[in-house]
Amino acid sequence: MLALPDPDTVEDFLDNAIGVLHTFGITAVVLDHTPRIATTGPIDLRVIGVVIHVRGDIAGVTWQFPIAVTRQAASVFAPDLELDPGILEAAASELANVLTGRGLIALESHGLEIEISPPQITPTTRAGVTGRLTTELGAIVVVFHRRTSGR
Amino acid sequence: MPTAVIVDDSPLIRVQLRQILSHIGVAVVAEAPTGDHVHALYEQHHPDLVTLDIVMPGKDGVTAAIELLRDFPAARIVMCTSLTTRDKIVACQRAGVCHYLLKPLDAARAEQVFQFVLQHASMAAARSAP
Repeated sequence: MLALPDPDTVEDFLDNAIGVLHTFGITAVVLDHTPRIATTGPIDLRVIGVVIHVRGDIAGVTWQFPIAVTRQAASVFAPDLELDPGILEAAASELANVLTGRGLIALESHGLEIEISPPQITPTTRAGVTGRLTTELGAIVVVFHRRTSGR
Repeated sequence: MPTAVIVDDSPLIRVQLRQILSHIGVAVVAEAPTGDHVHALYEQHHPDLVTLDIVMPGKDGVTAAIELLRDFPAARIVMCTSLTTRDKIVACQRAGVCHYLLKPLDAARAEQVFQFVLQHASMAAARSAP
C-alpha cells in the first residue's frame, strides 16, 4: 500500500496522541475531524518542528509543537534541568518519538505498516495529510508525508 | 551498590533514567546514545541492569539485546521504549529481556520494575554461588 492515512486513521492516531499528552499534563482535543492537505514549506519560528523518517507505507511524520508544549514536556522528562534551547529541542524530539511510537498501533490497525527512525529537528515540512490538536498551550500539528516512489 | 548502564539516544530520557535509578540506590556506570556500544560497555562494567531504547541511530535496541543476551545470557535488560507494536514486543520476549517499560516513563512504575529485576538478579546470583 502506498497511501496516506485516511481520516479515520488520522483520528485514531490523534486519539492515541491525546492519551499520551495527558500523561504530560497536557489536555488536547482534535481540532479538525477532516484532515487537511499540507503543502511543503517552512515551519513557523514560534514552534519546534520534528521529523521522523519512516520505512514503510508513508515517508515520514512531521510534528509541530508550540514552545509552551515542549517546555511542559521538558519539565516532565527532567524537572530539574534548565530549559535552554537545546533541552527544548531534545524535549520536542522525544515527545515526537513517544507520540509517533505510541501511535503506530493505530496506523497498524488500519493496515499501514511502518518502522520509525530517530527524530530530527526540522525547519520545514513536506506536503502531506495534516492532523491538528488544540491544547491550552497552543495547537499541535502532525503531517503524514506521502511516499513519492516505492519503499 | 547495584550498577546500571543506560542506552538511549535522548539526553532527556538518560537524565530521567539516571534520576529514577539513583532514587533506588543504583549507580549508573555508563551511558550511550546508540546500541552500537552496548556489548563493549557490558563487557567493561558487567552491570546488574541494562536499560535499552529500541529506536536509536546505529544499532537498534532489539538487535543490541539479542546480541548481548547471546554472549551474556545472565544480562538483565529492561527495554524503555514508546513502541507498542506486537512484533517489537515479541522480538524482545524472544530475545530474553526482563521487562518492557513504555515511554513516557512513570517514575514510580519504573522504580518498581527495576527493583523487581534487580532482586531477581541477586537471587539468581545467590542460587548459582558455590
